[in-house]
Amino acid sequence: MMNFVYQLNNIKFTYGQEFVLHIPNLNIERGIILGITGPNGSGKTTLLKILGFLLTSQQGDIKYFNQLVTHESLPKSRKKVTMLFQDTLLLERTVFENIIYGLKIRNNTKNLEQRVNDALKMVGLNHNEFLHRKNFQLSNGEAKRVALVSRTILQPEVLLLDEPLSNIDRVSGRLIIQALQRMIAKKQMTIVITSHDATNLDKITKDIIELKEGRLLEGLNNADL
Amino acid sequence: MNYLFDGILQAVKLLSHGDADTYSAILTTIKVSTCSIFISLLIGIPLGFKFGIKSFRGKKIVKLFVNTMLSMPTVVIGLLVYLLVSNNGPLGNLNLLFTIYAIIIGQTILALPIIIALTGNIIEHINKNLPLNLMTLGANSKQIAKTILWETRYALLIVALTAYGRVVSEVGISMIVGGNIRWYTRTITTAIAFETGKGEFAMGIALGMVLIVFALLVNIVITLFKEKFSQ
Repeated sequence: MMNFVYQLNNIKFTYGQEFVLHIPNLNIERGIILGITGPNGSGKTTLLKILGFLLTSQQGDIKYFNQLVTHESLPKSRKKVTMLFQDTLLLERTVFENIIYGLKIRNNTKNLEQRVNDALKMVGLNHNEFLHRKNFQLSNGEAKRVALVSRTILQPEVLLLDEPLSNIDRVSGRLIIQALQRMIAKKQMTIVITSHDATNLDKITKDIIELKEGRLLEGLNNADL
Repeated sequence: MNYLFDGILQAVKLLSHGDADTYSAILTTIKVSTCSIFISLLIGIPLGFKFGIKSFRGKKIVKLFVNTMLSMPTVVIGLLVYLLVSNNGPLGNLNLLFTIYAIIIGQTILALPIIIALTGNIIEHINKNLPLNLMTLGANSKQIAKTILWETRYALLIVALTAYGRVVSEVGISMIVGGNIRWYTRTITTAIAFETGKGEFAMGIALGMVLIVFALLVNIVITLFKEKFSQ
């Protein structure tokens, strides 16, 4: 029996009257990097938000590790998944405070500094240089890497990344890809990553699906990934 | 011109010699306006936050009402509070008329729409993804609200100072429901009106100077925070 993180069944989502997403069937296997490509407005971000339990579809159901996600179980499931948004948004605090925000919420505060230093190293940021910088003292690429660290340090079961390589410098992009590859090599988590540019995804994974106008493209429906 | 300079000279003397009448009005003003701002912030910030973050039916109408309240003349608020706390009013048995508590009620009504409207506006304009970002980091709705308030702290401080500036300089409410009672409900603004009416300009000028210093200090702090906020 396959070990699936997600099993989506007949998911439909609309914003008001506007049709956004319809996924008849999609299973995502544990420990893989799944790439989702498609043009702007194809529903990639909406799908990620549904997978992150930040949006609830009007129709269909989701199983998370074979358990049906219900309104009651949503907050618990949400804590096991984290999402990095395309629009990098750091709090008006230092790098250190931004990174530990989620840990403090979880009362997981042992060895904070050591863990933050190690996590920063993974994305090529020197802790001596960056730890006490304020959010506005970072470039786009550095801010994206800090935001990524603030998610990975939570050691989620699933990491959802929305266009993590857009609007950042090439060095930051390369370092993010390397960090993701290292995480997946350690079988630490399942990663779902979107990009409107499929060539970006080719560098990271072979498991790629394509969305167009809210639908999985022909031949990729009923995908077991 | 001598008339004016004499007034200013006497005003400086009143302030430097610690004139009891002058300082009583200053202390009453500080006491009353600080209390009313504190209460307005306690009520207004949570209401403004909810108003800004939630979408609900009739929000536009509520917004229109709050914005109308922003330009409510202080004498009208004074009249309403008078009707409320006078002997025949619903709160008449509390004997609040011509006490500082009546002024506090009136000034709270004056400050509340300012705080609700400006807080709502700030919260409406935060990045729409901020609550989702916090949610995906594991925050619950209380923690999200706390973080958003902390993130907007400089802007909220400007809101508080703006409301304080309005409250400290009002005269209608203090005069109508405070009654300008010496040593008790006389505030800077009611004292200025009263002394000017008597032709005693020195105390009026002295208190006017204090009010201007108040306004200056509030504006300096607002400017500093605006600079900090826009960084």
